Amino acid sequence: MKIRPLFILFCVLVLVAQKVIFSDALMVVANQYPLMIFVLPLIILALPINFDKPLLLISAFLIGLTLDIFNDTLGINTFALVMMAYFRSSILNLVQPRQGYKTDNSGYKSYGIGWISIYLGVCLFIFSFTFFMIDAFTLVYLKRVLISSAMSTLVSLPFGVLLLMIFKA
Amino acid sequence: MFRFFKFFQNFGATILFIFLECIAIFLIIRFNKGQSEIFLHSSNEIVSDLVRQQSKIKQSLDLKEQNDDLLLQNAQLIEELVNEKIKTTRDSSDVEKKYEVLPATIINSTIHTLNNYITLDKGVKDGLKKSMGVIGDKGIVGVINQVSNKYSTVISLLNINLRIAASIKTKEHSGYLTWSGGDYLHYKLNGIPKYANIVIGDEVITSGYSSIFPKGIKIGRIETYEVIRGGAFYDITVRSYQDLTQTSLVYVVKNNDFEEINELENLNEN
Repeated sequence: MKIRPLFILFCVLVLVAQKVIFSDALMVVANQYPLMIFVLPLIILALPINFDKPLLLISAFLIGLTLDIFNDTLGINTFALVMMAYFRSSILNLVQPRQGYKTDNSGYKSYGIGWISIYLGVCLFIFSFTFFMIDAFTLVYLKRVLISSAMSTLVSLPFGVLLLMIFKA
Repeated sequence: MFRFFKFFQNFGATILFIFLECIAIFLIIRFNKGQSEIFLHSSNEIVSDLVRQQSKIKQSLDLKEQNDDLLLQNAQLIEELVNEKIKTTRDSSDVEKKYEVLPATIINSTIHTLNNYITLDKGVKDGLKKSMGVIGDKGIVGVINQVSNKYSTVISLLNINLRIAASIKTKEHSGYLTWSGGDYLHYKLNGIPKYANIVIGDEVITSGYSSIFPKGIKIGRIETYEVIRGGAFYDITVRSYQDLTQTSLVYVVKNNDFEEINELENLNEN
């Protein structure tokens, strides 16, 4: 598999965006629900559907670690990203279009905006839920974590849809 | 071997996933304070002892710092108190501080001879000079004798050659406090005239009739007294508040006018 320079640039841009623009909680709703825009998972989610799974896990680990090193939150993004990468294939199976996936590398764009939203929504929710869960590190705040991840998924979704519509895997 | 490969082919991704997540969890617990605390807290059944040790070490590492801070704070408070007393007694609005107080630690002391000395961990470089007063948290300790760059020796109150100008609180009579050897809690107060109306339990304080100690620093209480037949003075035994055998932190009182007063007094003598 050839890694294209464009994709590397995309990775770097997303990492920088996550670190610089979306690094802190966007706002805290009602004083207890932190809201974050996650663009980091898009790197993994933008990879081709038939991407080798072990390779996907390793790249998720490395990408998460890179952000964590800069954010001084060693392990948190990594854990969430690897978790999401692991479940990506199952989700792809779940949301499979009736006619199956195309084999011609035509990118996510061809499956339509509705499909992309569902795929991204579920994956982003897994990521945010894991992220906030690890951040809290206890089950005490489960309700808060659920609300936070749902809201974060919703606000992150437009960015993802936009990116996947523009970017050709 | 083939089976092994087959197994790995089927579950390789899952094993890799678990492996990577384990690394991530390790990193989280190792490098994130909040999570590590929760982790250590929840697993306290097993590692409670470890946590206790850890917090103990943390605390004792902090203790030194806290102690130093408190010592400085104490020194400042004593300084303020001492200077405040002068202000009120002089009834002047002198903003210039007459006394400065510096904290110091006792690093060596003798108590068993008749001429006991104490060594402090502060010296010339901290602004200490000869003949400065040294007080403890409850009472006076001694007077600085020799100073080197980093250390200084103090003539302990438990030294038969030391005389401290002392008086009885609420009464104007003043005398001097000496130690006569033996018991390290009892001192003699001499020079209080026979006509003074003293009561057992009266507080003995520094009189301020010397440029070493400011007025009003507590020394102890009168324990017994007797009238010396044919003499003009009482023979008073004072029980000191400060137990010099158990003192480790002291404050050095620096009189900013000491040299001026001393010079003047020397002129008198010559």
